[in-house]
Amino acid sequence: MRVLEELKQGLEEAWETVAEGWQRLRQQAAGAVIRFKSGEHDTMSEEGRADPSQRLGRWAILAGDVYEDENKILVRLEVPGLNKDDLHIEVRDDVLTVGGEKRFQRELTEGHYRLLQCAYGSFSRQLRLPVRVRAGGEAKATYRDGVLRIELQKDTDAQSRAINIQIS
Amino acid sequence: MDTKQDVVKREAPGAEVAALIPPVDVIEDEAGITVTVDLPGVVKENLTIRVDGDKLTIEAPISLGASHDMEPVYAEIRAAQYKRSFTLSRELDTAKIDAALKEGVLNLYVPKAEQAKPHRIEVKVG
Repeated sequence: MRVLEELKQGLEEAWETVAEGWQRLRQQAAGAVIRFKSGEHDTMSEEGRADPSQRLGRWAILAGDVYEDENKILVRLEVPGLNKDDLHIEVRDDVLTVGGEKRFQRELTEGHYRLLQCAYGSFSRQLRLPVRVRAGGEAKATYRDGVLRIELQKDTDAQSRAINIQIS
Repeated sequence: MDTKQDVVKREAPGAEVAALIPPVDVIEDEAGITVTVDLPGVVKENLTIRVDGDKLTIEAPISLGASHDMEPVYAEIRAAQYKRSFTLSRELDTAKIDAALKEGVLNLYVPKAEQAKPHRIEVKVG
């Protein structure tokens, strides 16, 4: 089937160069390149999984920024297309872990053209914080426009502990 | 063609703007194609979708949000904008594109033109 052949070629060509761009980005931010594993909730068929070029679960960049002032640390992480409830955040000592699952829930019709570049499935990203943070209700998180923002209070008397943060 | 470069340079007054090419999904069905683009941090007001002939361009500035009063410890986002453009097949009806942006993901639906849709021809047995 030659439907959309023109579009397909243009996109795949573009993707080659995007891959190069990723290589460059990877050097700048090695920690941001995250492997997505196939999730339990996606609608991809078994046939789809068998085709390696179209398999769900792939590498993606989850870009993160960390800011600080005297009292707090702000972490901004790009995780587009998730439900708030599918994200979980944990701090253990000075390591922040954000995990989640991006679901693929569209119909794939057999015999039709498809190109999948976005990553789906479950992922986990760890970020090292500049200092330890306080446990309890002082940590806040919001998820908006595909960006997760986590605000943490710096801890002066550092002790080893683990905290879980709810997204409001 | 813009998309041949990993970082698209665009002439801007006084400065060059580096753009990040976001990943896309394209899924075809009987009636058209769905294009999905990851654009984290982009709000509807800043998103530009342009159709010029058979060329579709998606553009949006990358905003880092309100953290100007805080000191960056490290930042991984370098480009100032997202930009991706591609050539659409003539079978698609670009006048009827439907766009929705939700949680940093853009979904575009481009229907096929009437004559490109599969037809069922009724055969009458006389």
